[in-house]
Formats: sequence, structure tokens, C-alpha cells
Amino acid sequence: MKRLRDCLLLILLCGTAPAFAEQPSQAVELSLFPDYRAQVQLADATESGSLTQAPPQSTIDAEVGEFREPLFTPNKMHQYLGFGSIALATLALLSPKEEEGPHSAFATGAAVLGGAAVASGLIVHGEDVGPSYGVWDPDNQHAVLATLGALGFIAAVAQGGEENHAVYGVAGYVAMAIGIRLNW
Amino acid sequence: MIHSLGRCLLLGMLLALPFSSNAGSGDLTEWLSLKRLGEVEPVANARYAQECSACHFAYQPGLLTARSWRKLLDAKALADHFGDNAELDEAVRQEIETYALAHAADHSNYKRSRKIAAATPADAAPLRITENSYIKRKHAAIPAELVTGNPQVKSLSNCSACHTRAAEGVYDDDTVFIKGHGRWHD
Repeated sequence: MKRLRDCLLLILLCGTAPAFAEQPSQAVELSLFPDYRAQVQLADATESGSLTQAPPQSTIDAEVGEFREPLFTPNKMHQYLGFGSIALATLALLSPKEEEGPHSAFATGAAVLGGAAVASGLIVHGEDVGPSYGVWDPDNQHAVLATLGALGFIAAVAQGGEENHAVYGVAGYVAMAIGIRLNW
Repeated sequence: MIHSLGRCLLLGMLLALPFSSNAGSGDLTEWLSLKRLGEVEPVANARYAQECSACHFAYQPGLLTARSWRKLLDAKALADHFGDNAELDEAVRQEIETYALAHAADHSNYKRSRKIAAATPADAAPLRITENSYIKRKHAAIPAELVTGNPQVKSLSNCSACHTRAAEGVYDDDTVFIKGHGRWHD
């Protein structure tokens, strides 16, 4: 029963992730400006060396209008797992520190989702990370910090009940939060 | 022993904090804000958007480094802008150049811009976004018939043909729709 409740909670939390994923629009409304597509496309000239006429605006709009950004893709699932992990870690941080209670359940959930986020990240974005990109690469930093975060959560759960297990939890929280921020 | 390791881990992470941001360039307060920085900074200058989109997609300044923008937006260079005359009134040109330089990839905290800046050799000033090794790598798996062989796309530099949220600076795979093909994922 308790596990079922925890699972439902995880699903609910993951469901809030699309709201985080929505980027507030800061862009200038380009539709206010002349229809660049109907004019000469400089883009074509850059590669083919010749200028060509772009398809009419109405044709493009109709096709793009059919497209709806999917809510569930491998990339989105990776994001949801990461957000779910940090959300549960926040709840674990805020909940009463009892050995058998919500604190333990939230912390376990954070460790499980954190581990799953790292695994899914390696599968979905494995090609974007690697030593050849260097330490300044934001994807490398994201991967290292999120992995440290998940390991911190796992260590905290494994040490649960011991006096200093919070060190792992808090360290993991900081690493996971920065790791997510770097790619969000 | 295990507790000492934990403290070392925490210390290491705290020490890593300053290096996690785009140290030395970009605005730290922006990084600490809630603003999304995962993609490319959208164009927020009306003059820039108006002048560039008069002829083509208004490529975000974060898609090239400052060195490239300086070369591209030089008054003489604009007279031969990829084979076309794109000369501007000097005051307008300066405003556009100032905006582009301030928001160029190497001055940005946005993730994709950072990747572009890192993939641009320090002494290079490529004029074409499609010449950047990061951009090339991200598009390497796409068959040519879906891009150059696709009459509705024609060129990799026609970003907004497939990236449905390109105008917002969003270029992730989930927002790609290749006309005549459909969704795309690596």
C-alpha cells in the first residue's frame, strides 16, 4: 500500500515536469516583420551558390501547423526523471526526519529517479558527452554533476539512520540542482 | 572514513560551483535566475529582427562567435552578403552589430551557444553557422535527401524549415519536424 502511494506520488510529480519544460517566450514576434520566406532565401545561396525561391508562406504554415511537440520522447523522459528526482529530494529535505516515514520514502524515490535520469541521459545524450569535449563543455558538466548528485542520494539512502548521512544527501542535492540548471 | 569521503565530495562540489557557470563570460546573475538557458537566446532586438528577417531567418547572435559577427556585419562585408547586397544605414548597422556582439555565442550563458563557442577555434571566424563542428555533428546523421534533396528544406542553413521553434531559439530534437518526412530523432 505504501509502495503504491509512493509510486502514485512519483507519477504525479513527473506529470508536473511539462510545466517546467515550457520555455517562456522572450523572442521578438517575427511574424510582425516582412515575410522573409517568400523573398529570396540567402540561406540557399550559402550552400548551393544559387538563389532560389522559397515555398509560399501558406504552404509552410499549413505543414508546421500539423506538428505538435510530443510530451513523451526519450529526451523528455530524461528531463522528467531529473526534475522528479530533485523534486523528491526537496520534499525529503523538508519533511520530518523520521527513520520510517515520508522522509525516507521521498529520499528513496529521489535516489531511484536520479539513477534512472543518469542512465537515460547516457542512452539519449551519450554522444554529447565525452573527454574530447573538455571540462568546460556544459553537457560534460551536466553529466558529471548529475551523476555525483545521484550517487549522493544513493549514498544518503544507504547510510540512512546514521548521523552524517545528511552530508551525502545535501551534497547530492547541490550537485543535482547545478547539473540540472546547466542544461535547463 | 566514509564520512570523510562525504565531506570531500561536498567540498569538491562547492569548489566546482564557479566553474559550472560560463566563467569569465556571460552574466552570473542570469545563470542564477530562473531564466531558461538550455538553448539559444532568442532575438530580443526589434531592429535586428526586422532587418535580418527582411531577407532570411533572423539567426540568433548566439549561433556565431563575436569574431564571426564582427566580420559578417562589417560595412564592406554587407555589400557582398553571401552574394547579395545587404548594406544598411550606418546607424542601423552599428545598432545591429552592437547587439550581435553583445549576445554572440562566446558571450552567452545559453547552453547551445556555449557548445558552439567551444567548437569554434579561437583564431577562426566562420561566416556560416553550418561550418561549426558542433552544428555539423548534430546534423551528421540526417540523410542528405531530407535536407539538400528536400525541396521544402534545401539547405541546413534554413533552420526554421525543420526547427519549429527556431524563432524562440529552441533547437532540440523534440521540436524538429522535417517537411515531407515527419519527426526526427537521432
